[in-house]
Amino acid sequence: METQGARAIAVQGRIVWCNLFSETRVCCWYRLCLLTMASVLGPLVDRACALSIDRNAGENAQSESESTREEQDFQHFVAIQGLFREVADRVKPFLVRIETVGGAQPVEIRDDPRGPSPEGEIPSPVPRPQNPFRDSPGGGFQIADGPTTGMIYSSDGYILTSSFNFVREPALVSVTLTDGRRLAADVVARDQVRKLAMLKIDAENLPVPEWAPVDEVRVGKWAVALGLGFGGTEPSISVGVVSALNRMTGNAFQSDVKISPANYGGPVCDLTGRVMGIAVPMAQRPGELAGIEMYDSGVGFALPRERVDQIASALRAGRSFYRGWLGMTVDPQNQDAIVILNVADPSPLRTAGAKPGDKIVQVEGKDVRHFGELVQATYMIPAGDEIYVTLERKGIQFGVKLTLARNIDLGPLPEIEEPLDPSVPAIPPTDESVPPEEEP
Amino acid sequence: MTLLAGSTLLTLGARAEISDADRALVFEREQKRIELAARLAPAVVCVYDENRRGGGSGVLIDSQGHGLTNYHVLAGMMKKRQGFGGLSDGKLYDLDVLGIDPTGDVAMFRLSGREDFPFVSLGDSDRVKIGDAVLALGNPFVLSEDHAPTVTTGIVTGVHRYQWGTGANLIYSDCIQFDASINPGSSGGPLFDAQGEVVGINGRISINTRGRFNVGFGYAITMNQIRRFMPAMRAGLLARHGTLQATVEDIEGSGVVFTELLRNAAGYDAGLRVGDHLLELDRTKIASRNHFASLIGTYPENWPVHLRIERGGFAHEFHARLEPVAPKLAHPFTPDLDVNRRQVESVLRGYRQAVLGNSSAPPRHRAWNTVREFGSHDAAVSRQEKYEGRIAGDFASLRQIHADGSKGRVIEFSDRAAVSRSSTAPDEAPAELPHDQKQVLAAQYLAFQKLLNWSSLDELPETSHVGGDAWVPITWSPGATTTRQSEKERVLDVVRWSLGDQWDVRLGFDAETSFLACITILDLPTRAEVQVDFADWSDVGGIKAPKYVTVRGAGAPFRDELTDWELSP
Amino acid sequence: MKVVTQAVSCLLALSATLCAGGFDRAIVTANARVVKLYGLAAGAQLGYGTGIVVSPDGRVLTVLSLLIDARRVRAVTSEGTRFAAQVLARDAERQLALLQLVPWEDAERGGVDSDSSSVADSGAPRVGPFPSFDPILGTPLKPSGDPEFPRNIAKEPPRLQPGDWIVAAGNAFKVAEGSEPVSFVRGVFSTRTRLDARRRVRDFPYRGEVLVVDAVTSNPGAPGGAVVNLHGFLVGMVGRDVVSNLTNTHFNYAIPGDVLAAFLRDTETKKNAAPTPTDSSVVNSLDRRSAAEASAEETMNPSRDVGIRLARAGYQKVLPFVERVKLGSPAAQAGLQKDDLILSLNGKNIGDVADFHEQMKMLGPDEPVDLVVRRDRRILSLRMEPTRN
Repeated sequence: METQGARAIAVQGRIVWCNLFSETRVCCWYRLCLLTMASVLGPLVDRACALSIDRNAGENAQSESESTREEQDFQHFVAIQGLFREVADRVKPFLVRIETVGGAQPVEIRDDPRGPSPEGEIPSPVPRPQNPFRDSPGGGFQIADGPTTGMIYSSDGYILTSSFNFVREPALVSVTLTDGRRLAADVVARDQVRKLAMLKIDAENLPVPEWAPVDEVRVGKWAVALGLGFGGTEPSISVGVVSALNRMTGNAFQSDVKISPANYGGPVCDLTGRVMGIAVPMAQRPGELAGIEMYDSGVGFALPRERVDQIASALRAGRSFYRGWLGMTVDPQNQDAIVILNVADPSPLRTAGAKPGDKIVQVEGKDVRHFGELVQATYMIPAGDEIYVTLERKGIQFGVKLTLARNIDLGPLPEIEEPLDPSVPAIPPTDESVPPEEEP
Repeated sequence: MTLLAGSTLLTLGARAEISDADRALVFEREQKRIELAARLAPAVVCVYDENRRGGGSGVLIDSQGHGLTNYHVLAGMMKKRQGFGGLSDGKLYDLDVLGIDPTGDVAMFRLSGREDFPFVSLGDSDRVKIGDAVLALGNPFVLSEDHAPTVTTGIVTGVHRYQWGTGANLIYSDCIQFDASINPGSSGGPLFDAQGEVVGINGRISINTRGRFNVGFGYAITMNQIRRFMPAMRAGLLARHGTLQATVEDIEGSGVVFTELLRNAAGYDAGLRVGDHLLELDRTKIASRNHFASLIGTYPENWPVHLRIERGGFAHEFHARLEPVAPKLAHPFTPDLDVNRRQVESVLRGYRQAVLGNSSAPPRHRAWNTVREFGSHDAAVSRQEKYEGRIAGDFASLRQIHADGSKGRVIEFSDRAAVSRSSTAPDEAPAELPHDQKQVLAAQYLAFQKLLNWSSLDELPETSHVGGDAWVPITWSPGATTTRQSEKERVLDVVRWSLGDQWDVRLGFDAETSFLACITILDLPTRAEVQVDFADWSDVGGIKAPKYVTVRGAGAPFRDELTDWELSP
Repeated sequence: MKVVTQAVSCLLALSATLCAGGFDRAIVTANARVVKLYGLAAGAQLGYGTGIVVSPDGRVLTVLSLLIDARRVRAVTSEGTRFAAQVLARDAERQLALLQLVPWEDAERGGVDSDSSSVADSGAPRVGPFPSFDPILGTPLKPSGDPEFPRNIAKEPPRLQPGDWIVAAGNAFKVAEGSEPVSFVRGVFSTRTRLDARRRVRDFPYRGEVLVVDAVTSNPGAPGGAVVNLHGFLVGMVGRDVVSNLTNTHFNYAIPGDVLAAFLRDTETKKNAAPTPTDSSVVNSLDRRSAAEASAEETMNPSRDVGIRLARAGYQKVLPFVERVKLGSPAAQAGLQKDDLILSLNGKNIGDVADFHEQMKMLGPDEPVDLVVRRDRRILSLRMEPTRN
């Protein structure tokens, strides 16, 4: 600031006078004006600024350090806006708009609260007539007709998105790239558990986004979610911070960005425009739509890089993931322990030798004291994965290794020879209104 | 022009370049926030009931494991008063419920199982303004599987808000409104300001037709309100809120007036009358009825408040102590006597530590010179007298020194008697001390000797912690009445000591510094009360001693300036 | 001289930031320029809301809602002063209303009804002056009418860009009373798009462009509130609580400043919001009529024949495959072929045959039709020109 021939006088360490004839004349005029005008504008600015209730009389006169800090605050937020825009500009080429045609709305089977509880359902004390191992999408949500978001995964035309829109099994899927090309897409594979889906389009040399290194995803970092679900060609932006890591049995990180069908399947990026994760609906219970009810609530989940890479390589190869079942129902009378009521045949538990009356006490070495904890320990494990379960029979504990099965691979539940509670009928009554496909 | 280049303020429409300095500033602040979140998270508790079912949150405020949460988080645990607290080290710790404040929806707990727990410092919620950045930590929807808290950010979007409770419970008075996302499960968690100090405890959200999900409206009870209730909660008590038993109404354009006053209750007894125009409550200008209700709701029962009103064109000032508001409880709450005794011990030990510091053996003999200044309503000029004070063992005495240096009367106080004798005529029969002089001497004896020399609490039976209070200092200048100064409110830990049938002693220790702020001795037969204040504790030969002792109630108020200390082991 | 002027203007701008600590400025500016409204409550509609002051003499913009149908609408300014509000204009299309603040005593004496068809241009203003927003530029103004923050005033309203911070000020949940500040939510501007939404089962009448924001703005009492940018300039008005037809989720939007300005222009020329050809939001309304209206017109306007016959299988819930294309028809000229699957018509997704016919009915006789179809594995765009009679 000082130039030759200029005299500098520090005023309160911050504002500097200098000789009017120096090269930095204009700046000095500015400084000079600042001092004089501040006194004129001060009251005006104060009036505009004061909210009478929460400022005491003595505080209106702002200290030097306070106003520097506030200038800096304002400048900081102006700058962040610019960075958000940069992120959108940088990531836009990797986004795709997905449109689907046809397909049915997922049937939310309203539970007939009768029957012993299969895993994944809250125990209730009366017999159930329906297939206990059905896949219920959860969420009670009607999927709308609007477009959804996806992101280019590899340059040879694989697209990652959230599986939530494919619950409808649409007849047709089209993908529109940022350059305007609209292409038909095949659904290569779907992960019902981690809510990802992989599409394939006929395109080459597609630009691929940069992902942030895993250790750079930290709590407190800015997070920017981009989506195309509101229509239009420009992505919508929503911002927040990373709230927690290692959620959903280590499958997702959580952020307070507004995540919703408008940006499911899209990227959650850091402030440099690198992808930290893919936004998906999620909750601590199974179901492809589970978690949708939390949209826009400041609780949103994204699959991080390691998990995406792991799943994507399988999806690419055409392997889908399905909800993993143990193949049992539990005794609803017992709220403080997990007591097996019936074991399907065939099923993972049957293969492991579990019998009615056995208690499940641990999953993967962690205590499970009640049914809710069992669901929490298993809901994110897909069929085909192995888990270690500790059972207890007549006071003796023993461990078994199980490979979770798809529900279509489970056999029927055999008739219970001896009801545990005389008031509960041994054979669940059949319900004629259940469509035939629902039977195991 | 260098000044303009970096400023994106002026370019309203154009896509301005972000300067390197601005960019660096953003990333620097982001890094600061990441570090702040990492520093604060270990002190945030995931609260579970005795069956390990979630979900609420809490925050640790000292290394012994004391923590704050909402009352409604612990309400289901009131039978056994036990639960669990998970910390981000992944472990579950035993949780004990201490004291509760149901009306204000706050409660205190204590974790055990570790030598020093991570904790955070308490901030000043009066400095919170609309627009301030805040961080909320907690366990919404019980999503944490490793007990690490969820971190969300936002800004303060309202202050001095009032949220109705259910009857006399869960009233959020003078609370902070903010838009950082909190959801069911976040209750009891901390609200931090940008410096990482707790300015509120989160516990409430507004909801709309979507159901119990955050829509940008979260509410936190202010830390300054909670501070008033902390002494009682720490001592395992049920802390009740206070009321003036008065109703105010808005008069458009002219503020607030009293429209109803319950006779023989706090407001009326203090001198308020219907029609009085309320100007200030505790130095805060009252803008509306809402504002008044909001502010009054932040005080505990029996708290002293200062009111400034206008009546008939003149301003008047009144002081009142608030009446209790009874909360509704599912089960009657009996304070845990062990917790209470432990807190008495903690407070007294804290005092001893503050005074004696690291001195291994407290001095057994103390002597000091006193310059006593008298103030009175009548005297135009205050007068001064000199005294010599001495405490040795169980014996305390004050000897008057005349202006010419000769010795005057001696006042002696011991367990056996309190007498006044002449130093010039030692054979003269000693005169019985008037009870108020006894009370004054006793107070000093307690402060300088008895409370410093004890090895176990059994030596101090009949002591109990009775909650908190605000220090109402005495001014001794002529014409003064007791008045709250405009400085920051000092919250006290009040320990009650019943000394036989004669005296009811209340010791007020500064909740933050542990120094003795005042002793009030009530002479039960005559109902005469003497208050002795101790101020300006400073270093005297390796220990701390007050510079000023001010007395109200023994004749005219006076102040002793204690000089020339002499200590012998 | 130029140098000095520049220095002064830059100086003044900078000094204005002396009070702005982050969002302070936006919050304080917005709060001073909104009024709390209280009016008619019925059923689920709660009878309280917010309005924006758009002139120093007390004109207030708000959303069209049951509230303003009260006999006497009460408005409370940020200073806590109470006024009555007359309705000057309503716009069912844009779902907006213009009110005029009048002294409360006038209303009490029964001299003033809420509904007033005569624009209040009779004589001097009886209330104010108030701080306000210039409705065209969004500039915050002092009661005198001068800009609050003197600077080089942009010739155009601030161009809000996605990612820009916004603050929405409104009396959500009726938390604020009297002179207490209203409530605020902070977020960023997400994107600008057409509104396609419903309130409960009925389609929402406004189909024009809106600003989507990533804060929950549509809480009870907040609609009608002011949405400002970081600098305190008005960029929109908080919209009503609707569910988006695109996502089936509650939608948070603001009515853009240019739509507010268009509404005010219309009221000034006393057209009472009659549609003009250049008004995109109104043209939109001709396209997006409710299903009820569309079906009512079925018998009156047979769908235009462009030469397409779609596959029939007895009922209409079937994918719209082309079964036959008439030779020489507009469809044939556009290149449509048998077995093409129609995906969208003029940008609207076609789910089944019924959808296609419905959309065709809504077309005017001279409108070209843009089709997107799937043929084998390709997706093609075709355009059908209007028939010449």
